[in-house]
Amino acid sequence: MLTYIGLRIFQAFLGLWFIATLVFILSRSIGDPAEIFTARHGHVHARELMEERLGLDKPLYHQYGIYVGQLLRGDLGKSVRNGIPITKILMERLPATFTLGLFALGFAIAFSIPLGVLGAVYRDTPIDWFAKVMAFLGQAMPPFWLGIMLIILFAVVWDLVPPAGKTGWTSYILPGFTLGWGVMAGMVRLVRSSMLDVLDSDYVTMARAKGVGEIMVVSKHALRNALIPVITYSSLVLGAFMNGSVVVEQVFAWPGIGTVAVQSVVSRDFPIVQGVVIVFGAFFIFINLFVDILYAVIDPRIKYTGQ
Amino acid sequence: MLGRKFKILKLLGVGLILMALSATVACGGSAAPTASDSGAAKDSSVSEPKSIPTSVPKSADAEPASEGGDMVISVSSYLGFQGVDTNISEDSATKIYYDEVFDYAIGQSPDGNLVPGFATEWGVSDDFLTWTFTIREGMKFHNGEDVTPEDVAWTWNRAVSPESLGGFALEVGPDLSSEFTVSGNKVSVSTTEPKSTLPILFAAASPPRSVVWSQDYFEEVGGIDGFRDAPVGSGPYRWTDRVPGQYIEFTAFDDHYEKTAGYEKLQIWDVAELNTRMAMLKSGTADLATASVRNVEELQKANLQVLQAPASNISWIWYNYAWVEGHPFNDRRLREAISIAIDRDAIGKGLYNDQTTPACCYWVVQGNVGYPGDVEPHPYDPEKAKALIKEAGYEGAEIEIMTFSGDADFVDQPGLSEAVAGYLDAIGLKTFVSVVDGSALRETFDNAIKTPEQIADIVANQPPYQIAVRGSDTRFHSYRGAHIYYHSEGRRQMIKLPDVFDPLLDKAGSAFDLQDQHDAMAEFHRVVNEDYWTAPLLEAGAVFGATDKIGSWTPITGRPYPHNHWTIQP
Repeated sequence: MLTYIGLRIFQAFLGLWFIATLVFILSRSIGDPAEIFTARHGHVHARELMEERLGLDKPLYHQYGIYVGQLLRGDLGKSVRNGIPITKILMERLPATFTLGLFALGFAIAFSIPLGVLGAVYRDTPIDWFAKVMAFLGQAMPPFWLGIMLIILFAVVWDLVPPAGKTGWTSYILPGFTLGWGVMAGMVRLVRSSMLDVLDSDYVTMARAKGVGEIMVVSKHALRNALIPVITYSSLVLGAFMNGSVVVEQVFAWPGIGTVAVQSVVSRDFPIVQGVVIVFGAFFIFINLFVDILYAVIDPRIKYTGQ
Repeated sequence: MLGRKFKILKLLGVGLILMALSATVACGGSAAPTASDSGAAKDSSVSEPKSIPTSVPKSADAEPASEGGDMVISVSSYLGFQGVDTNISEDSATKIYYDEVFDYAIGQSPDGNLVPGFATEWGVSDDFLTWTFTIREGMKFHNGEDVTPEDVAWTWNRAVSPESLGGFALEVGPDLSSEFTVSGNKVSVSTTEPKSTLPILFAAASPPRSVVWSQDYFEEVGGIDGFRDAPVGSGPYRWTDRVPGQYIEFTAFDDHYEKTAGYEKLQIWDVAELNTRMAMLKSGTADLATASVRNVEELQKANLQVLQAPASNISWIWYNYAWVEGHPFNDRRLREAISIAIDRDAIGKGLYNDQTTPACCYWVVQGNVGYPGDVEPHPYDPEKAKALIKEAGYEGAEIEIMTFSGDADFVDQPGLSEAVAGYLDAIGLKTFVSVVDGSALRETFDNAIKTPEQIADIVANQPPYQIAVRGSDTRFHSYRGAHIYYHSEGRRQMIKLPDVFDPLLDKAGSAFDLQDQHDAMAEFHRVVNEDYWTAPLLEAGAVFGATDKIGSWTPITGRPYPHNHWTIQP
């Protein structure tokens, strides 16, 4: 187990180094970053000044060394538009994205697991039909439209929750629901199909034959195995949520990291774009690492490399 | 039997849901959800929409509320509210909140004219090379320190330093031959040559310019990093808090020399989505919000105030590489055909609820310095346009219409571009619309950084021939915008015809009398209009929605975003 964890951690950092190097190469191969940012200024002096600020006047190997050294110290550089350290910008925005992502994922799991399980257990009944319709609606309704409709209904007409911003626990409800609704749709289908597979398996048949109650069969014997693909899917979803949902953040004026990413692209603030890509990559890598370790806890049948 | 019945019921149910979904999606796909049945009116006894003031609201001479209270303003800034140091770069998002916290040396009256700020007067020496600003006495920073001429000189020298990439450095710096120096209560600076338009650059609000910071406080907090976290200015509002990505909060500063804020606490929210801003107004979460000409009816139905600042936005067409000999756009017939093919009245009615008027000139409207007054908008004459296309031999020519999304500069530029494309297709051109981001659009039309070889290479590889549909907030003095794009030493040089435009702009730039400047710029606009160097499209007012909490507000003409917040009174 420890060998496995150690190996996965090493692979994670290797992946992170690869992403950082790729970002370094790409940011310099699309053109002169200094010229891209200062093109609107129309002054040669502006470009030279920006090159000096970004360290682009040094040899490439020197730039890479500085870049890696800064990353190891957690320094992602500064915004060229307003001079604010990028680490500071991201740390200011990450909590909002993180908490909203957790809320949305929690909502999605809380609804999708019961719906999916009931849909599988009561296959081809109105309950199953209801679960399918929920899944269908979740995938059909675009989040942009859904978010605005929810704001009109719950914030304007009924005045139950705030329409925008992160102002308290009630402000999580609408954006969390909007963000989690589409994910819930996919999860319902996944849980349902996974449960159907497991419920048809031999060991479940054996459990029933032994006289184990149906609730125990479903909850203890079947559900645990059916959750493995759900965990995988949840990890991907969580990674996506951590990267910020631009649409939801725009609609609800949520002060998250997705908005930072969009604003930095629009304003050609490439150090922020660089920093955001590295952080996004790190999220995916470490979330997947966590999930891999969790697998082993849930399912002891999983063999580790070398064992 | 039961199974079949259930299947039929199931099918019917799915069908009903699909129909309901289609109906709601169709409604949701329209420009904005209506509020007719929102029930948002807080006062159910009001059955008729309130009348819409179509002119600038009443003056801020009204007595300020001594009790104050809170005010929330919701505005869109696609760049986010983060900037404080305009030395770093031109962070135009700061224009929304900068003049609440900081004072300018030269300000603007509601009709856009220059008025004293913390400089009580300014003037130029007899040789026109030295400008002197007299600094107001008795002013205080928010931390109680006095505002001194030394602070002014230090702030401005920092702004034009060689390390600065801010607007002050890029537009003012190159013309200076000295540092800003102090003598008594005056701050002076010399220019390399007579620069009559210097005061205009000092008063420019986008991006903010001639502010004053406290040098002592700046050094006390360890420089820009500390200052950015807790800026201290001398404006009518004091910066108290910032929730990153959400809002900035201010409290009224009672020791201002002139301006009395109407509210004790002010929050300016950054809300990109127009529908969300409308929802904030209707739910009472915001008291004033940026809307658009398309929201007038919606705001009326919700019993909200509709405030309009007239002639705040203008749109036009640029022709790329029109100065290059041999390029199709160098042919006046093609430029004229494109412009007169467009029915501006019909677009205003169909796309903007008849809330726009045809524009006559590039980046200038009535009341601005340089507005000719005797120039008509280009007419609508599709038959003549077709004849010109045929005569010039450009039937079937491929035209790329570039524009960018975002309503900050003009409402629905992509929609406007599609409308233009329709008219151009009707006269025999082949068009397509490319929606890009603003930076990409500017770079495509920014010819200052391209070498002649690069331009020749680009031109050789066309079609499609590129035009841009873009908009902007209007400018009180049109010289600056014209110089940037039309002068051979301009920062962007969208068009390079020094023999045609440099003499006109140099005449305006060297005239020290405002009337002479106006006359010279008017002549410039006549030439641009008569030879179709641009195709002005539409003018629009800026529309804002407001709750009853707003009694009056005095916006400055030409600014399509909430500003002058200190003039908002209960």
